[in-house]
Amino acid sequence: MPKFFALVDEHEFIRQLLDPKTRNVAFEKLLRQYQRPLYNHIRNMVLDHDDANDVLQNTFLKVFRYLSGFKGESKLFSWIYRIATNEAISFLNQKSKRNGFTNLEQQAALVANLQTDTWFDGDQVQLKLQKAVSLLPEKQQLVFKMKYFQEMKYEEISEILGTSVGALKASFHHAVKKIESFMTSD
Amino acid sequence: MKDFKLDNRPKITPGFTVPEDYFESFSAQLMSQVRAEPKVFPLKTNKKTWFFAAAALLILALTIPAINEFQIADSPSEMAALENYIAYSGITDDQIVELLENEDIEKIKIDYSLDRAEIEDALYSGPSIENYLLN
Repeated sequence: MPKFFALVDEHEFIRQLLDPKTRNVAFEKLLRQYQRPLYNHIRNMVLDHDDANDVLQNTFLKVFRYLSGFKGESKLFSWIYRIATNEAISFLNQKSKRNGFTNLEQQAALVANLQTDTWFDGDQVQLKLQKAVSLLPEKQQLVFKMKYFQEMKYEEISEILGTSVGALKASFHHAVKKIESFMTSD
Repeated sequence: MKDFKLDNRPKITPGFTVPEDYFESFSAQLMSQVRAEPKVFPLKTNKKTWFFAAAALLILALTIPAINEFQIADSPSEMAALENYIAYSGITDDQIVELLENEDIEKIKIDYSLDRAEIEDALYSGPSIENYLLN
């Protein structure tokens, strides 16, 4: 998670993003610093590299287009992550609908594809973990991925998802129990 | 697999890889798209302004036929047609009164200041005085 802005710096950076004279330079700085963590966030959700690329592109274009509407009520990072999360969810919903699957069936199909995916080099444990996660309810999947894979703090996840820290902790705890049970099974 | 505890193991990464130089080419491509975005010049309007403008237009569109509806008939034949319509439409007196303003009601008020003799005469000449007394 990019932690490069103190509050004062963030205000100045937002000012630069909103000023037409400095917007493109500031946006390129934002792009370079957020592209990897956002890509990882999106990739964890959509699993496929090409899909993650599409969603990442849409995310940054939306960030650029809606910057002027950013009122600063939340932190910049949580606003950007919220856009990325919603874009990924919309993408997955559309994909499921196109394929005539439920969202969970779609997730299962995506995980099954990982075995032959050029851009996945995980071992059996990593593949089994992906399968275990795909069997969780959608929200629990997201919480687990953000907490375990991306190592985000509960407070950060709370700002992005709009869920209380307590609920997130409970969700993560349940997710871990189910995953551990699945990983232990044959 | 033996008893599996996530906390007791080194972090398991998702296993994803990316093409070489992906992020370099991504940012270059994205910036060229951003520079090609049409420039939007907001006219100091925001969503609220558009919403109120749309609402005003809708109200105007709805009131135009309503204004035509409420044009009062001027000629005697139009008045007669209107009276007949009201009389035979099944609309009740209470419903008509609800549609009138207070000043309209004042205008059609009739002064019923009858004296006692006139009241008695009306009651006794009617066939159903028992109904009034018993009900």
